[in-house]
Amino acid sequence: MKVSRTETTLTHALLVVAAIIAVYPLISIVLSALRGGDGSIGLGSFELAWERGGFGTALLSSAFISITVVVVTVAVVSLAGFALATMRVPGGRLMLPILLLGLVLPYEVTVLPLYQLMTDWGLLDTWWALILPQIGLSVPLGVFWMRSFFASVPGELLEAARIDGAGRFETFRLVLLPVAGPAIATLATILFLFTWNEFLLALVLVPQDPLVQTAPLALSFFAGAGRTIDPSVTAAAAVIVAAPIVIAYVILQRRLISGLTEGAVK
Amino acid sequence: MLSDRTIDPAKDIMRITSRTFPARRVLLGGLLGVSAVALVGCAAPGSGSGSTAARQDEITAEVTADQIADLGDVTLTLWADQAEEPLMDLLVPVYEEAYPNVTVDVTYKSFDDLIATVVNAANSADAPDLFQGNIGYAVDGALVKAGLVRPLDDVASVYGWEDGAGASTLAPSRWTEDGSTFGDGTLYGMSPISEVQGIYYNESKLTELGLEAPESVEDLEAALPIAAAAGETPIMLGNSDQYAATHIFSDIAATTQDPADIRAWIGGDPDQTFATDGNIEAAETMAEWASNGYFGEGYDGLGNQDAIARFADGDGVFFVGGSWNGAYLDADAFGFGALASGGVGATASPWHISSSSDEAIASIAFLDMLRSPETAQWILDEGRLPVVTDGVTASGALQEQTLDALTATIEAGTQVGYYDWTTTDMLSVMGGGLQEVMAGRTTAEDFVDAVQSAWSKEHGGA
Amino acid sequence: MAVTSATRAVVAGPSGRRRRSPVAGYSWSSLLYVAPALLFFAVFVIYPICISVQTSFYEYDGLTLATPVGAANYVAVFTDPSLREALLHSLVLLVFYAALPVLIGLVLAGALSRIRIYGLTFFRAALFIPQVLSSVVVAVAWRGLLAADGPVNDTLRAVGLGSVATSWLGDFDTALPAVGAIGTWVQYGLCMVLFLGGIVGIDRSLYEAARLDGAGAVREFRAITLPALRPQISIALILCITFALRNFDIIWNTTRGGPGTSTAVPSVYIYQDAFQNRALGQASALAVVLTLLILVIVGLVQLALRERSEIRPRSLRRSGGLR
Repeated sequence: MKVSRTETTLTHALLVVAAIIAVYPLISIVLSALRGGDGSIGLGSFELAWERGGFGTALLSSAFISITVVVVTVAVVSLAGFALATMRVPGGRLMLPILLLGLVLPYEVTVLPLYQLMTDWGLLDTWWALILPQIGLSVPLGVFWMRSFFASVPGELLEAARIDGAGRFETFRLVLLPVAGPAIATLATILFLFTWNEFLLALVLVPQDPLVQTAPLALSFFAGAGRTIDPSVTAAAAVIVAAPIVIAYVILQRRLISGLTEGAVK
Repeated sequence: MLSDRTIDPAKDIMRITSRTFPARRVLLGGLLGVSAVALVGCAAPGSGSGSTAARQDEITAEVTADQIADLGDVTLTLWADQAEEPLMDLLVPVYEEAYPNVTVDVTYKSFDDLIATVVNAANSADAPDLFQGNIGYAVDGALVKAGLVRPLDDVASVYGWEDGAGASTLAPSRWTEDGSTFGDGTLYGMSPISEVQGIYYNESKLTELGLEAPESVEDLEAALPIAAAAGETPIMLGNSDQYAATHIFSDIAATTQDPADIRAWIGGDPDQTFATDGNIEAAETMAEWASNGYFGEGYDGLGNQDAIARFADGDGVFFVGGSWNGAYLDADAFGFGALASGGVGATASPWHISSSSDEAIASIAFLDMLRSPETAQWILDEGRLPVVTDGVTASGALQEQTLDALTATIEAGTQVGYYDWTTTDMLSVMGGGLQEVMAGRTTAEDFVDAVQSAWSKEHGGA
Repeated sequence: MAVTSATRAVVAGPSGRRRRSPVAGYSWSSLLYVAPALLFFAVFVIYPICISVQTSFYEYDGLTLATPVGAANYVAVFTDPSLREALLHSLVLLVFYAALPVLIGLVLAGALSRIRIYGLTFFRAALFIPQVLSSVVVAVAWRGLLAADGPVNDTLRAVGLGSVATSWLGDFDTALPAVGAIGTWVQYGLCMVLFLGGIVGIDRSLYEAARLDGAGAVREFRAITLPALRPQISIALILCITFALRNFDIIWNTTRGGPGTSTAVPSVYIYQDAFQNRALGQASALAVVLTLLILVIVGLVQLALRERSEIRPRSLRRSGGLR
């Protein structure tokens, strides 16, 4: 036992304080959702929000879009990150700064050319109008993340694979991917989060079809209409939209948690 | 690179390949190829527009059910502020019954989302047939300028919108052809809903304090110190959205000035100026009230929505707002004081017919129904105010007071509109500037000068 | 370069089936690996950027034909005093939106990684909550918390600090730090997740060895955790700096840039120009300038981090990598 009891206690105390600060605003939101407009306590606000906001279809849309974006992005950025970390890619040095551009861009402005592009392709008001651009926007972060992960894998591992006669793709698939689990899980969590919460693209690129609208768009239906909507319904809608991300986080991070605890047990 | 080439035969192969596919250019080409096409290929943005004007004849008589039946089975697509949903729920079934071959399909959006997207939608290939815009340059001005909405003068004259007291409410939807000034000119929209500003008061608190219901800004001013002395928050204000205080300012400013001048300034008449004595006085009054604590503490950190909720819960003696706030208040506990000396008011977001709509006559019939006395009664029943006030009956004292105030302002011609219509950035210029005046960080003179200089950038003049 | 490549060839020896000329430069087939990602990126990011750069030289309302105006939009960006003030606010927000979240994230991740935590799943989910809430809702909740009579001030009064209680978001002097504090609260969860992801990858035997050497928590953190987390810190900083400089939602929904212009930031002006004023040329020019500014700051931070990260041991590139 190398870690003192005092430290254990202090760490837990720190975590409790941090957790209270983190969840207090959420609790205040949940409480105001439960309180209801007329002072009664119950799930009435949730029912109302669910009905009026069309959250059933919105959550499904968001889930489909987010999962597709995450899966495709993880696939393409793993390949790209692998190549950039382990091979001499022609123009590779130029690629990273250009990717950085995509990472830091304020896209209030680029969303309008995208609108034109999607109109020309006849994809406006479809899932693809959100999926395709968001893969593009997720690529920079993904490539940076996976590249730095693959670059940190001990060289001996690759050396061994090479000596065993594994080809490049085999090395990637059989040697590197299996150890990349936690890195991919973290990346997937963050991409899922960003995609799920994306609002501006959804607002502009799926203007008309209620079947394609995403959860944040449905939330905005309440939040942007303070004049007519009871605040407790807005709060309920907010909780409905946030819940799936928390669940996704817990699921995606299971690997990570087991990895952590394994290390900490010692 | 050079030395590599001389010593290594493998590099030579590379070099040959590089000549055909120069390494960096392959990459750059891949990345930028598409965009290069765009940069070279198109002359200027905006050369193409998604929508094409449909053939829309002027009408000379009321649209008949037969004419609409001739359209065959059609769908009328609507974009509406979600606040209209209760009204649409009543109106659409009646419309569909009167015109059985028409299906009405409404897309609701929150107000913010609507104004951020409706212009793009109106410009797209499948533009909605009928939609709500927003008065002012950002939305209605853009729609008019780009020719995306149908002129409605023929409709107004056929259906008699220009007769009676409600006629003046059409003014904010009248535009010059180039979309540069509004208030006068060709009619492009119609709103069935009106708004009026005034003073809400908490009746039991007034009784406690021994005060009469205020009927003017002077009455209010006299009551404020009494309320403050009794330990009450005199005026409940939530100004973090920057607009609530501008309503109070405009109520004060309108008491000493000719409504026609204010209206002309809002409409962009270059002969007008904001740097008037009346506006300076009003700004000074706001600063004085703020420093006397008449707005309570921390009003700039409170949202307008939070403020109305607190007022409804019994916090504060007065709430200076508008008829749109009334729905939150208990009609038995609160009253509404009209500002007869210059009640500011306006119409809500107007409806427009798309210039690319093939079903324009069906849309015209819909607008007619929106402006009917029956609809007016529904609007009132929903807790809002119709522009057509003849023959509607109010239920309850609060609603009656509000309706009276509206009728009075329409008759007196004091519906000047809202100051922030005048330029697209006026809400933040005036709202932010007023916050500074009220906090004592700038003078009333500097405030009106700043507002006027922002206005001049758009409209010219002094 | 030639030397290391040669050494590598020797090390790989004859068993290297895929052995090539030691100085063969680029691996052309590697382009196949990067092509799919780059394709998405080029079409959906680079292309719109180029259009925006083009638009920035025009006066354009998004509907009618655009008029070329040369560099007028850029001149406006650099001569408008309110924009200069807004940029200054952004720099202050860098502390709250980037520096503090990274520090807090490091402390939390470090604490979580060292010992067995009871209720780990709960704590991790709880600490992650601020990241998942929609910013509209975050704004509403914090407006309530920071109100003149809100819980924050109640707490201050309870502990005898009533004199500092104020309407945090409504006071000209406190609004910017208050908005900043909300950003700190939102961002640290993201940093923590990134760092935890990195910590899992650290070889546990390093910690064992350090503990056997009698290293304390702080030394262990500085000697092992911190160096190993450099790539994650680097990415966290990029994300946080970007968030700080282009954040819009939180400010828009709490203060609209007020009181006065005390919390106005460039992105508020970009949004207003693009979606309210329909001045797309002006909005584009401002966005281009802002992007360049972010790139410069991010670049500087990366340079600062890279210098020291060169000492990182056993990176793939050093030991040869794949050919």
